[in-house]
Amino acid sequence: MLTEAERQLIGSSWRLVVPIAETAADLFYRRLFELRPEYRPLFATDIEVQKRKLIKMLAFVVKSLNYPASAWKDNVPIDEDLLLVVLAMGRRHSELYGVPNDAYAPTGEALIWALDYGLGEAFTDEVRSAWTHVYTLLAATMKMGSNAVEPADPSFVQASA
Amino acid sequence: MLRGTFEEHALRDVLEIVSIGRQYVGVEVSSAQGESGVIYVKGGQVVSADALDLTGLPAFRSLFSARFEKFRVFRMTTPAALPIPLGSLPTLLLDVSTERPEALAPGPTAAPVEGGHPRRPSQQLTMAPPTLEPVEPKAQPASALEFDATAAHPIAVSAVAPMPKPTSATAYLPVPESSKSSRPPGSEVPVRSTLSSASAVVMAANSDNARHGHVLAVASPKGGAGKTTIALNLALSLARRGLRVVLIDGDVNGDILSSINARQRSVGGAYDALASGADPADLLLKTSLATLSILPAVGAALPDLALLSQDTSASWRSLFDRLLTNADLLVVDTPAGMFGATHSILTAASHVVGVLQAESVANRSFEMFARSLDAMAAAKRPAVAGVVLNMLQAAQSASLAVMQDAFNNLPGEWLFDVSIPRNSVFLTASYEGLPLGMLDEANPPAATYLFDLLASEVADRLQLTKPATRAPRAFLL
Repeated sequence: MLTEAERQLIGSSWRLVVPIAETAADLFYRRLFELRPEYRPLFATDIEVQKRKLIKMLAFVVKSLNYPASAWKDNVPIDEDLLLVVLAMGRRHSELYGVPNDAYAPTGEALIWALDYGLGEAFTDEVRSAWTHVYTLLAATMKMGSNAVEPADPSFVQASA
Repeated sequence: MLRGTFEEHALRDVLEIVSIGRQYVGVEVSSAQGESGVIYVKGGQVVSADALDLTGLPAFRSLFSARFEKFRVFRMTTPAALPIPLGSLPTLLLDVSTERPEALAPGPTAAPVEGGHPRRPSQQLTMAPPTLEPVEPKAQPASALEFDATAAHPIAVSAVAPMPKPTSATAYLPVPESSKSSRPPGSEVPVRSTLSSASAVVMAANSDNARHGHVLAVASPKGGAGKTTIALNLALSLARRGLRVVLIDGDVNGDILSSINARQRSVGGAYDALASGADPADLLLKTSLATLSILPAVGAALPDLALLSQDTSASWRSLFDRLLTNADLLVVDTPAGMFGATHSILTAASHVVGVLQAESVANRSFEMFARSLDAMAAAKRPAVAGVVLNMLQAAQSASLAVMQDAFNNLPGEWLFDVSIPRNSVFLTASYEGLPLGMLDEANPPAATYLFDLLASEVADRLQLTKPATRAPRAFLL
């Protein structure tokens, strides 16, 4: 479970990434294609748009994790709910883009590597651990979204008893 | 929404996944015998649980029994009234993991276990961090998300993944030796973005100017953010701490004198001194506070406006130097925007305070604060003393959103703890032509103290406060 301390580490380390976001995205894709050259054709030739999407998604993740426990009752619109968004993303990755499940490991490695390079000394063991935990959680969620028997249909709402 | 079996995903893992969202969700578990129960979660809290004839925590715990085989996750409309939750999910899961499953439920089919739930090792998914194996370019690494099934506590996620080590056939960039080291020598990290690390911007004092003394520019990309108000009240608070402060109006439009309703008092100002090289000390206006003087921007006559499109940094630098012979700190109000005359002032200043108005348009424009500083040569760039959120309206979500955004997106060291609220007292002060603290000196408005706090933070960050020379006294007698 993501602890409060881990959430804070994610938030504070992300703040340091934001000003160098484009560089971090560069590093990530360089590392990913180094580890898995066969993934390069899965992306468009001009990868700039993809880099921006990556940063936006990570910013969304950080933002979504950043709420006080006291706000647990708040209603979040379904298109901004981290769980639903990530489930849908997992489904898209699997069905639309044909990304295999074994892609999550090298992707995580590339992400951690890029953050390490980008943050330098600020990438402490605790920060590494927090990001690893978050990534593992997101990857598991995406896989669950891709394996869902029923569509991860946000409109499927059961009336409360 | 989702369904599966506990062979693929343990219940705690399903709950952990569900808890990254904030919808009101039911996780129903069922057994081959047709027994079922539901755990209701929202926003990381376990709201309630129902199982057979149990409710609450006993129900929650019982649903981790080995006899449940399948799960189904569904979203629900949030009820109008939510009960007090059973507890946060992390806490409750910790509670469950310390109990042996046989003790949880009298199910006759509970298989013998080793202190954990029975699992099929080949398909286990737990939340331990991925093992990042060293990768050979051609080799197949182990899938990072299969874990040792005998791991005692799947929620013990504090183990740190080992660093990937380069192999002899390394084809990739050099890898940092440890997470704490800076980049290895010889590694090339192309910085393609227009922003370099803002942390470097914060701490790197303007090496040209640092030795000269403290010059604090107050700047904001967007106009109307409240620079002048902040500069005026901050200068007063700093002066009240005993620092000799000169408040300089760097904006030809002369808003400082407008704030104190004294436009007619100026016989000449900074821009005249810039043009003629005259001693700015002769142009200072004294205030009722011995430690605070004001240098207006202009007098009755406008300066040569060509001055405004030139790089006047060197002239500002000598003007600052002359004033610093009799002052501890200069506070400079700048024209709106980060370019033009403001750029010249920033180049000559040692520090800058950014003013972020808690309003959406200002928020979007604020990216220019870091970008413009980054575009300056490192030796000429002022250090960022901090960013203050201004005109915050706590009752307006659009205004609070700016604050939230700032916490999320600005470097942590930048934001001051103090934020200045929107308040009608500022209108009153402008009307009266006085800084807040002078409206009623015996009983100043509360916002005055916010500026005192801001001044404290500024003094700390600029290291203007001397550390205590005595040991603290004993407290209790």
